[in-house]
Amino acid sequence: MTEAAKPSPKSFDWAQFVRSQLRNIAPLITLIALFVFFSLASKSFLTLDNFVNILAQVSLTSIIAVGLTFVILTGEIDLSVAAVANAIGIVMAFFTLQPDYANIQNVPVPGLVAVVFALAACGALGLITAFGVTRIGIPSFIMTLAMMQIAAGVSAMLVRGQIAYSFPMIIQTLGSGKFMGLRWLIVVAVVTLLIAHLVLTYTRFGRYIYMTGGNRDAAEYSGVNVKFIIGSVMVISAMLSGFSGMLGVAYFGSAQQNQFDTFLLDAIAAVVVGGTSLFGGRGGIGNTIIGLLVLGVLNNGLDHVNIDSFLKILIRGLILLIALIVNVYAQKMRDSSATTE
Amino acid sequence: MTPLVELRNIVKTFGGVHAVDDVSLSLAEGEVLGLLGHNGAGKSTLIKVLAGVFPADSGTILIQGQPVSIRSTRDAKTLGIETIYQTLALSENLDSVANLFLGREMTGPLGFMNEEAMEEQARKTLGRLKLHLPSLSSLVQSLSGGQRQAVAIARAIHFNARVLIMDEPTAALGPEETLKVAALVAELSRQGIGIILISHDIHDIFDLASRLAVMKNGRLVGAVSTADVTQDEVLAMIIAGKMPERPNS
Ligand SMILES: Nc1ncnc2c1ncn2[C@@H]1O[C@H](COP(=O)(O)OP(=O)(O)OP(=O)(O)O)[C@@H](O)[C@H]1O
Ligand SMILES: [Mg+2]
Repeated sequence: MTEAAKPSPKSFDWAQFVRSQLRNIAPLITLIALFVFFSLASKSFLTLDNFVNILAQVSLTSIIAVGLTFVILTGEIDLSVAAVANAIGIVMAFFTLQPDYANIQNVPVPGLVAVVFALAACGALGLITAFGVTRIGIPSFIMTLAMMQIAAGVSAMLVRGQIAYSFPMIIQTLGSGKFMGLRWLIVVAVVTLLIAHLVLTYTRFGRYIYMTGGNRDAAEYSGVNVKFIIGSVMVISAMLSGFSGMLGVAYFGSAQQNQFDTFLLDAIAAVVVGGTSLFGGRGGIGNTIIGLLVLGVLNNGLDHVNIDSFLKILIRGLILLIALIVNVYAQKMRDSSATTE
Repeated sequence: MTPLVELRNIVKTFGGVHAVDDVSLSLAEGEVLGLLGHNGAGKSTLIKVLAGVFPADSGTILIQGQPVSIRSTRDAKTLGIETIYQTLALSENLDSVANLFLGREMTGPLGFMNEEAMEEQARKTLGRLKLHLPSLSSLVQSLSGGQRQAVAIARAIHFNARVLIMDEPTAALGPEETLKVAALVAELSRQGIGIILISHDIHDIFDLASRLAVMKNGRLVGAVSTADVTQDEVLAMIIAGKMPERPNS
């Protein structure tokens, strides 16, 4: 009903553009700044080898971050990702024949069966989370906190403080093998990111994820089964976390408790630093890729400039804090620019 | 003639609140029924029962004489009942086309959404309705209140509704846009679509509606022909909850 005949602005409004795109621009600038800084600060940083290194280092995180992106886009959160990754890596090891010195009482089955069991296990954990959040109505923040503890418990029960070293062949290949000189892990991560991007951008399921995060009532009124969408992303998140855990233990060459602890913060940081809104509905895989690279460059770069490793932790915390501020600020800017029209 | 829609003894409670209390109402083909009442009278709740947002606690809904079960908004849409919600129910993080097809996206082979086809259809519908938007691909968050209302109206019209529910469709509109909606309501009514129009503006609704139903505290005060009453009498119905002295239908 509003006429299109409004006079168009004389010149391109840069301030307006920057404000509306803050969540996409800020992470990119951060990435470039970090990249330039480390390139200047260290001779060893700017090499192709090191770049491939960075990719390998973020590959495991990126698979977890994909699932987390889905969850955060719906406006929910999953704090159990790292614990689930750990548990599923251990579940897979539990079903794999271990060397004698591993001293784990387990149930060896053929490799592919172990993989199927592990996938079924993460599916089950995801379904429990989905059930708690959508059927019982427990906030995802609390439900996944409980799941984090449950998954940690599963890990502890299965290995009892021991370490497992053997994993099914196919996982061994994907987790630590190479394909034409390139780590399979990187290939798997890139394929996962690509598929996730296609799903989010071009399928109804992806659109419903954005709708659920954007306006839950509107999604419901349009006949979208919001609970199904939220349940699905919870299962997807658990599945991808578990998958990453399986590849991870192969990558590390061992499976033990508390092995993935840093992955929770890393994955959340990657999604949030990338600019996907904590309130849901905005962002996507593109943002998560930038976030992953920011994290990867930061972690890797700090190693190259010989910084006190304790300071490193603090710096990461500060970067995350700044990203959170930008994230919330971007949302506020959007809200106020939408209402001052 | 059998009415297009008949609501019989609809009851809907929220906890202890009787939001809709034993309301019976009918709507004929091509009829514009104005639904009036105070804030909190139960108007939105009543139409949400018909729209399938939540099922009634008790009561029956008949479409063209046939009892139907409306358990979800999909059920309602399948029956040709389209709704413009008071809150518009748009997803601000998506563009106009996405909002127009919200929940009913067109897909091509492999299940991918067919963005081009949707955009073309959206353009057609907006054109047919003479509703103009600056750009179909800008996010709804950047649209004005009136433009958003245009998207919500286009969405309701696009899928060939038989029954159109409009919950305060002109609340965010200026006088000129309000006139356009009025013309649209008249046009759709000529096409035989039954329209339930909720508004707080008695003048507007007097011009548009052929019949008026008034609710108060969840109950139906009564329904009258617009031709038979004055605006003051309708105001009395809204405020005092009393039917006019002269007997009308
Ligand atoms: N989802 C809900 N949960 C609980 N109570 C509700 C809900 N929706 C409506 N109500 C209550 O039901 C009553 C009727 O509300 P309703 O929205 O139908 O009124 P209305 O006539 O549309 O008012 P308005 O003119 O302000 O839009 C109110 O007391 C309201 O508080
Ligand atoms: Mg209302």
